[in-house]
Amino acid sequence: MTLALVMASCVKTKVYRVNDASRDWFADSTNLNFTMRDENGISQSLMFGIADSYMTETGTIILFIPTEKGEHEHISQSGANSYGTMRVSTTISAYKLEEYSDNDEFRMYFNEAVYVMGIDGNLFYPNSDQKYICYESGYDNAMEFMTEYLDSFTVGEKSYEGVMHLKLIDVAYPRTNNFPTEIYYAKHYGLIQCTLDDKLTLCRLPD
Amino acid sequence: MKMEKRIFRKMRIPVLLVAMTMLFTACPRSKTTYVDFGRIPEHYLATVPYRNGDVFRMQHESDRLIIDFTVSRHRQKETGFDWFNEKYKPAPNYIYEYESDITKCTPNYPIFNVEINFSNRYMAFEEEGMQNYAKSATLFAVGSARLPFIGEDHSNYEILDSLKVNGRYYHNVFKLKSELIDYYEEEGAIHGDTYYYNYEKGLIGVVMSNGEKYWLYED
Repeated sequence: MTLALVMASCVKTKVYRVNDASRDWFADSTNLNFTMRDENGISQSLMFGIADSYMTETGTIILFIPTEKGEHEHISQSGANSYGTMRVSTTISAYKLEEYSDNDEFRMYFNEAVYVMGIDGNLFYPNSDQKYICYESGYDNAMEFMTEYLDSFTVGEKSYEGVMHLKLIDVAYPRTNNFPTEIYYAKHYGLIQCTLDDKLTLCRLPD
Repeated sequence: MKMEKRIFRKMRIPVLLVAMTMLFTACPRSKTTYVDFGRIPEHYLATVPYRNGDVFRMQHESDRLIIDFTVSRHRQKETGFDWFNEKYKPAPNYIYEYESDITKCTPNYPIFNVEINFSNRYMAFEEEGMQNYAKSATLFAVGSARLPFIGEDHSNYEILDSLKVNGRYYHNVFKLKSELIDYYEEEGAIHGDTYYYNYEKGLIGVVMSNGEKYWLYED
């Protein structure tokens, strides 16, 4: 017992923070509330909160003796439309333990969809074929999607620099209404365009 | 000695009963009053013309889109405290049984739901006391407005003799202004601003805060 306490006090806590380059993916405080309009001319408001940072702890214990301790930063931002039909939450987590990857983890919940991948600034991992399979919702290969980084993308006559493009290939669990099948997500702005159920596209209106 | 024992045995049960009675009556107990508001009268329910399973259609002003709203409607008995009632303090000792009538209209398009809720819960607020039915009905479409009743004095509506929508005339139409005071409005978010409604057809039109309009569409 004494030995365990001594060993515990000797284990140094490593602090893992989200890469500076990855932080750009959150909407700035001036870009939190905006309007999106679909091709039928119907508008709706979206409201997001300020990106929030928090820490969690992890550790490894072997034979009651702690061998590793880590503190991990997570940055999260959530929002919804005023009609209650779109809920979006994005989190970037600093998981840099050796057994995982050297990258932050990007996770976006959009209604019933969950897009998860490694991220380091403009680089998405694994990027061998730009195809991602995430294991969520109790299903194997729950969602398969493609992603690409665009230097710029224009929506509603406004050009955004640094855009993430996510496109759903397949999903293992039953799709619900308003399932996002294509998303454009810009640095400092967040959501700029999305397609629901492969048929209805909503575009962000310029301020 | 034997005699004393016999008396003690005989008296044992009555003494225990007296002791227990004293023990329980000595404990202070709060008195709870149950108030049953009964059922919502039919003539109030008739002000909402929708039946469970109905489908009505609204057309967006762009004329490109007609949206189906499917109705689900049910009545339920509910129980609750009234925390806001100054007159009948202490409120937590009053348990109210009341009825709610909930109509939900769900669109087949990612826009607002329409909800019309009835309740006779707040009748205790009425000056007449607990015998009167409060006329509580609210229409929600990302915003809210109180439905008026015949003869009710209400400052938040106008009555239009007739309103022409998609070539049809609708009579005795209430023009209801939204009473929305919450974060949607503070943030400038789009919400239902004006509702057009009559007892015969229900919702006839919605004007959003950004000027977009939806009108009842009948074949």
